[in-house]
Amino acid sequence: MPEKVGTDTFRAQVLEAQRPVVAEFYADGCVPCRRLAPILSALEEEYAGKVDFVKINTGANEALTQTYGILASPTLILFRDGAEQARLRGAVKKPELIKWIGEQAL
Amino acid sequence: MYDVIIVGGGPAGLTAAIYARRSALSALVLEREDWGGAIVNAAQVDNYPGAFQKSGFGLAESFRTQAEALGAEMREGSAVQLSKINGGFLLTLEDSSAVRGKTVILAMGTQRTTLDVPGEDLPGVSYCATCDGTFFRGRTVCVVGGGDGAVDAARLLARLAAKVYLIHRRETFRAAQSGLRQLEDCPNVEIIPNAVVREIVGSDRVSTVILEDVHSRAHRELPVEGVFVSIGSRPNTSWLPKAIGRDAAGYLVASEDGATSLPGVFAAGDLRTKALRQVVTAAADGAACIRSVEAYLGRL
Ligand SMILES: Cc1cc2nc3c(=O)[nH]c(=O)nc-3n(C[C@H](O)[C@H](O)[C@H](O)COP(=O)(O)OP(=O)(O)OC[C@H]3O[C@@H](n4cnc5c(N)ncnc54)[C@H](O)[C@@H]3O)c2cc1C
Repeated sequence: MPEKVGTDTFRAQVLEAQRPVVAEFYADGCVPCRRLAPILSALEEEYAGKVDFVKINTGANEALTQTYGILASPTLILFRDGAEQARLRGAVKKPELIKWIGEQAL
Repeated sequence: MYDVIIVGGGPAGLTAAIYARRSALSALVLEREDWGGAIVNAAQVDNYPGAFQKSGFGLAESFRTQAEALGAEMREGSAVQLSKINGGFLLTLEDSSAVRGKTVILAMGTQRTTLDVPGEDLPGVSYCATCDGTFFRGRTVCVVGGGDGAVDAARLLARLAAKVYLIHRRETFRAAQSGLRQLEDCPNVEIIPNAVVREIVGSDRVSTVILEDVHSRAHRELPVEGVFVSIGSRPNTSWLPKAIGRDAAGYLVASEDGATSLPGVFAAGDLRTKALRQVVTAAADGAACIRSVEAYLGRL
């Protein structure tokens, strides 16, 4: 399961990461997020060593949510070399996500 | 050939599967999205007997495991075509594969209606206040709709946002009185009746909605940063053959035993004509349909 990241650990684990990072901004009680959870867990294993996966609770991390202008959960942001490279808003299916990661991160 | 193919794995379809297996019928359930159907979206279910204060997600999960444990075959896929063949029916799936059944139970439920106006894809337009409400803390938002979903969304948002407008195309609300009364107690909620959204405007996110007064046709601009849409739903029946009768809104016309105008095809749950669309009535429909399937197959 992707590790939870908060304001305190975001810099080290996302911005300063050696690999591309897919960060999921989610909310408690958000059904599309729950649907996405097993997919992200599976992809984390498939891409081990190539792409990192983390998740950010938007309710508990308002500053990060504001900084990245999150307006929908789930929102997936791909970070690379400390900056946002791409974003997906709303629920996505696994094949779409694999395609997106392939295009953006690999 | 299966005794029965059930299209849709919501409360109606999964109950049909449970009853089919209890009657020793071979059953296949097709589901295109979420096992458990629309109820996964309910934060909490309080009115289904035996599931007090259970999450919709948890209830959906227990429907699925029960049907599976009883031996129903479950397959992920979207049915796109139904045709009559010798001795039964052929259902074609989106991936062009096909399955055959002596009978079919249609239990595809409904789908939420989208606004269908320019700007509806802008960031800041949402169909889920539980998911996205928190992003509008201290801001101004509107909710569009007049049913329970809209009123619930407005109440939730009233706790977060600075200001909530509830935009409804009629004067009176379909929503339950209890929810409406609670809304009246929220000082930051303003109801705008007799108005429809014509356009959502913004450059990279929502900044304004353009409203039209249903009587005078006059337009006005309302500055908001979030638009929460809850304007009802329509049945997932458009792909069915014409031989299966439906009403003007597309709901399948069926008798109490679930029989449609096409013998051997039955309808259960939210997609059929009925007064109350709930889990308990969907489940009841599913059970009743299996009795009809057994009668049709001459098993009773
Ligand atoms: C937010 C929310 C809260 C609710 N709260 C309550 C509550 O507290 N209590 C209550 O009793 N009811 C509640 N309801 C209503 C309840 O969810 C529905 O009445 C019930 O789910 C209807 O069951 P169904 O099986 O007829 O349809 P659905 O639950 O809609 O299931 C139909 C299934 O068919 C699938 N499907 C559609 N087309 C196809 C296709 N072509 N091929 C394959 N699969 C297909 C769909 O993906 C879906 O999973 C709520 C609904 C919502 C949205």
